[in-house]
Amino acid sequence: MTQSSTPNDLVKNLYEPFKSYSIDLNSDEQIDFLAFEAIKNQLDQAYLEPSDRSIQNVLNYANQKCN
Amino acid sequence: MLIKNSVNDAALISAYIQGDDKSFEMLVKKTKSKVYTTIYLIVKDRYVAEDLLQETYIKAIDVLKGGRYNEEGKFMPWILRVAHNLAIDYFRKDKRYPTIVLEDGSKVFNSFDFSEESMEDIQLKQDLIVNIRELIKKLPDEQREVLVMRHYEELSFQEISELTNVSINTALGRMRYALINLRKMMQKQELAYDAKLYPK
Repeated sequence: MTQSSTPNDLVKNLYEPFKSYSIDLNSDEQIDFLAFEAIKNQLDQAYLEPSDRSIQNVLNYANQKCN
Repeated sequence: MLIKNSVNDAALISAYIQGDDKSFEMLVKKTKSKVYTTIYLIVKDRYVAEDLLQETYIKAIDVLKGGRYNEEGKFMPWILRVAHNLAIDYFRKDKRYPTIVLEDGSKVFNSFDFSEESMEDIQLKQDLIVNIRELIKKLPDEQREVLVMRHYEELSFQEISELTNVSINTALGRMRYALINLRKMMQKQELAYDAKLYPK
C-alpha cells in the first residue's frame, strides 16, 4: 500500500521508517529525502570524545564510592 | 568511537552496585561519546561540556550507589536524559551567542563572511565551519534541541513531543527545518569556499 506524503513524513520516515506502507515520493521529494539522508550521515560523523582527564575524574569517583 | 552494546547494561549496573568499579568503567566507555556530544551541542562550549559530563556521571554514581536507580537496565537513555537536563539547565542560565569556542578556548565571531581576511583567517574559518558540529551550533535553539534529542539521544518523536510539550507534528517540523537549515548552511559554505578558490 502506498500513501502520498506530507513534508514532515519525509523526516519521520528518515528516522522512524513506516512499516505498514511505503510513501509515494515525487521526484522533488526524492531529492529532498536523499539530501536529508546525506545530512543524517554527516551527523553521525559529529561525535566528540571527552578528555581523558574528565573520564579519569569520573572513574576515580566511581572507585571511591566502591570502597 | 561508540562501543556496541555487547554486554548487558543491567548486569554491569548490578555488578557496580555490588562493588565492581570496572563495571562502571565499561558503562562509561560505552556512553561517554554520546553523553559528551549531547552536552556539547547544547552548551556549545567544550570546557563547560567537560564539567557537565563529570557532573552527569557523578550524579549517576550517586543514584546507583544510593539505591535509587530503577530504569530496568536501560542505562544509555537514562544517562542521556540526565546529561540533557543538566545541559539545558546550564544553557538556560548562560546563553552564549554568537560565539564559537575554539579548541584552545579562544572565541571567534560567528560569521560566514570571508571578505578582507588573511589566508590564515580564511583557512581557520573554513576548517571550523566545514565541521558539521559548528553548523549544528548555529541552529535556532528549538531546532537544535529536537535534532540533538532525536539524532544523538535517540529519543522517538513521540518522546520528544512529550518532553518538550509540543505536538508530534511540531517536533517533526522543527527537525525538518533543522535539516533544511543545515543543508542551506552547507550549500552556502560550499559557495563561499568556491568563490575564494575560483574568484571571478
